[in-house]
Amino acid sequence: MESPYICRCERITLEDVLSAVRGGATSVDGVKRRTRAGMGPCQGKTCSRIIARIIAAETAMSREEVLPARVRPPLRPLTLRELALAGSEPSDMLAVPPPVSAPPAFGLLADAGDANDAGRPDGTVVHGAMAGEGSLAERSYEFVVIGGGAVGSSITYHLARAGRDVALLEANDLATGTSGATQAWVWVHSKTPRYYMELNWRGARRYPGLSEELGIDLEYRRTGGMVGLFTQEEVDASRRMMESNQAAGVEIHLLTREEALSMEPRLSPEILAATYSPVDGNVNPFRVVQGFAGKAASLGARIHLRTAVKALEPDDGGSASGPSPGGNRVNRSGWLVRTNRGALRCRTLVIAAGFYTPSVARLAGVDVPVQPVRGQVLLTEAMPPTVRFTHQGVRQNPTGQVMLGYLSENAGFDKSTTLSGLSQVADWAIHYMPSFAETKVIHAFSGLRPMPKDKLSILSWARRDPPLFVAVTHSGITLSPVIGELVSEALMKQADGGAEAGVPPAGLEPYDLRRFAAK
Amino acid sequence: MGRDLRIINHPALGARTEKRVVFSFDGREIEGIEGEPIAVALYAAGIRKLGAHEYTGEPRGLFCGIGHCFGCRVTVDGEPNVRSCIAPLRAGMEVQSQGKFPGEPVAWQAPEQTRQRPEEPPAPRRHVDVVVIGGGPAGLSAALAAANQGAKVMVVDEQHELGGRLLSQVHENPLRKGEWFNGPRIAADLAENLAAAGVEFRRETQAWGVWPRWLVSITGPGAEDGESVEASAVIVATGAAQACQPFPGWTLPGVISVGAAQTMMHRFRLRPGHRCLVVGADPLALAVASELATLGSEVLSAVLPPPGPAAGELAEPKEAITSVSRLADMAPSPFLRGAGRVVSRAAAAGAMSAMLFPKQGIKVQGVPLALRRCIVRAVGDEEVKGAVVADLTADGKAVTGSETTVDVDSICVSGDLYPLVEALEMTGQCAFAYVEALGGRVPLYGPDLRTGSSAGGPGNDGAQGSGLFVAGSASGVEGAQVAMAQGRLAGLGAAAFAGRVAPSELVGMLEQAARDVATARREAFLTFRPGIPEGRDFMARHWLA
Repeated sequence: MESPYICRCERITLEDVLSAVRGGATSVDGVKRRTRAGMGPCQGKTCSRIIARIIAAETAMSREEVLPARVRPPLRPLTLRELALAGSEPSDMLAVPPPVSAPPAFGLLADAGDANDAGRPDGTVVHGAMAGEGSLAERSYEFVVIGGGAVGSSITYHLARAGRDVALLEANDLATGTSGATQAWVWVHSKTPRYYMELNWRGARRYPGLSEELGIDLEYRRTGGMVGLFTQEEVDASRRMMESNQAAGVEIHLLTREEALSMEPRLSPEILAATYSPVDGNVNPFRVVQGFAGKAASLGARIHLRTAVKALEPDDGGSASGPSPGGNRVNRSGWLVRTNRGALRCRTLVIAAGFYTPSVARLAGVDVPVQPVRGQVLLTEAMPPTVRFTHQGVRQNPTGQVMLGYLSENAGFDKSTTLSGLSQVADWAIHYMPSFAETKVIHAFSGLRPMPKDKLSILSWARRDPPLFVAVTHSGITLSPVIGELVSEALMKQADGGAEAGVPPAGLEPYDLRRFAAK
Repeated sequence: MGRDLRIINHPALGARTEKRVVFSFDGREIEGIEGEPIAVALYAAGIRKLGAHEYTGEPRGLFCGIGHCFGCRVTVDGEPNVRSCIAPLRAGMEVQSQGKFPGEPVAWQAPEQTRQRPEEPPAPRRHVDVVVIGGGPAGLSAALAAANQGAKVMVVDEQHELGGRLLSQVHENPLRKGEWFNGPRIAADLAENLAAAGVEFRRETQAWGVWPRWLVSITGPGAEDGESVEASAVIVATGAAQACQPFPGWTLPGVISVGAAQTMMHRFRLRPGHRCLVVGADPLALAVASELATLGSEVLSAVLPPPGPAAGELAEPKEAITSVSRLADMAPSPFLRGAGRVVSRAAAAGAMSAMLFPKQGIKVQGVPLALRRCIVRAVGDEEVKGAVVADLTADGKAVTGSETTVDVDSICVSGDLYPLVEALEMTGQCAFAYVEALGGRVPLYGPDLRTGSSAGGPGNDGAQGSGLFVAGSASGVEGAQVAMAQGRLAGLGAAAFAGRVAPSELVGMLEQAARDVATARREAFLTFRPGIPEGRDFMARHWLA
């Protein structure tokens, strides 16, 4: 029998939903992240309950255990102009108890803010390749990576690609942190300082071949990137940025108002100028994470979802690493990683837990200066192709929906969408592309991003023995391919006795943790 | 398909009085009835395909009939993605279908309209005692109860006409033949009383945000741009929605939900088709089958959804036979009672094995109930032209080689009704529980239907309450009479929360209102789900926990 559509809006079939469940989805949001089911104009009203029924039928879960999609405003579509006018909550409304789903300050367990993604905490319900069934066999790995976002799954993939023995632990589901709440630009040209821009450029250069390499269409499009400039100060700053970045060989143009408007007619006629570079683009972040993790799994990596780290203990006596492939030197020590599903051991541990990195690293006695910053993002109804380039704040998805967002808020671990936040984004969007005023918003989401103290990546050894590496960054989507490449090389070199765990790996010198101690 | 689908003389609603207006669809002049949904006017004119899917180009049209599924989106006077199943028809409207998107544009062009950033300050915020979201049986009753206590009340409803599900509920009284439960009449009476009590209505208006304590953000023709209303208490009375059974081809125009069929027949006096197939064997599906037959459509049969993980046990003949048999005594209508008796007799004869249940089905008042048959797919390129059905084994496997094509022009599909709680969920201020007997995920609520957060424990927080109430099917799927009684209870609770009820009188009034809910539940002649009392008991226990 042919496979019926389940999500009528996005034309997602029963077979698509079943393969998402086989891939580890145990919640309606888990299926949504893997398939887009529920992302269309009906906002999941038609398919969510059917999807919950399918999950229950395909797993050992009861209907009440299958968590529904998280509900976010707008409950009904409204125009950007209306949203811009909606303003903010009166200040006396802020004195209300936190939402029921407010996450604890640091949640090592599946955080309560993502309760909808958590599934059963014992992880027994998942089946298929990316699983973790029952308790973890107390097995030993050469490498364990903590964090199933773009960065962690890329490192895992690059290790698996080199034939190494690696497991990925994810407290929740794949792409439930920043990677699942990003606008997913592959962005290069306006980043500073120059060496950081170059690292991003290396990341962007990996993307064109990555879909084929991972065997999944990442929906990567090198659209070119543009930044509309509204003030003379912005123009001057952009000119300085360009001089520096062009020296590294990246093609960047400063467009006149007329040039910019002819290339991107939606831009506000009030701009003075724009920067443009053909190297920027955008991608589907869910597919990036699924691509890395799925390919890693097919190469032999173990992906343990819903596996939350509780303790990290240096492990001297136990059965530390087996023989390492390059192995002229076998370390005696390693790590004992205790989780909600039992313990496992490894020789080298990598923490790539995004904005939760500080709390995970603290379990190993390491301080990592990273704070979460919140972004709120709007999605419009689908339109025929109308935004040509990727902008800082605007991109059009392959589905025709336009994604708008520019906020960077300090809200702790609160992932709420707020009236004032959504309204500010709408106001900014109309400022940037005024013709969107009458376009309707159909979805909004809010996500936290890890922001290192100096805004630059942290890709660094954090302990020498047993070896501990920390990989956390802003711009994780752009950077994940190159981080996976460079970090896996460093990890393998150290494991094979070719480098000390304290010495910054080649190419990663600016991203060492010790730069914070020095100041 | 054609104009003859219009019902000229409805047995309960009588003859039509209406104003005909002319509008255009893709440039073609069409006549419809003022105020009816655009999609209904088009349907009556034989136009069911309202556009093509943006990515695949597949045809699409009206499906849910209540503004949920967006399948009927069209461009109206230049505004894209208008839900034509609820947008009222007005004379001279220019309606256009929306097609598949081009892969890449021919040229990047400046958009026609270049509006500037709004300069005007945000609209000033009004304060009312109680905002009621949803103008159905529960919401209207709640608004009236609150207004009767002197509360300043606003009702927000998405539709053009107040009444919600009341507007499409017309059943014959099972005890007195010829006497009808006339939902539209009840709705009109309630609306009249509400207007007299000074309640403010916002029709064609949607609440898009509910922000804690309490701000309700609204949009639509009944709202100012960017308007939000402050309220001391909010009552969420958003009712229930239907999760229909998917099958291949269910996105074709001409496949509609049974809820849409009911709305079409009883509210807009339009038959969904000449030859109909009904998918599902629950009370709502069977009621629609019987109503279709009463109104002159041929019902080829009621069949089950296709087996598989999306349908679960709903597609098993055994379950279907048991569930229809249960109708023998429940008696929502003579038809359903009859169906229940006939099927339970057949089941008894077949020792419940379902093996002896005839494949062609059993005819009940001319409608074959084929509980051992399922739909395989809808047939048609641009709209429904037929359906493939297949026999089922007793435990719900399709028998290979048994597929036959039936000639139908319309398919009405059923599915679970479940509480629509998104307005409560988005606040983050309610604790929820999954209670199968109540239809799924419902907020925990107290004796006066106040919700509470688990932050302080429902009991603790509930003692004082946050001012967020729930009423009607959003609290658990039941019929209109229960919803109205619940509305009166919640309306009283909300008025009290806003300080409009003298404390000395409150306890007695709440007790009386709660007793009325229990009475309505006992006397309801349409029970959607078995186990409602157990579900409500669960709620009482967990609220105090």
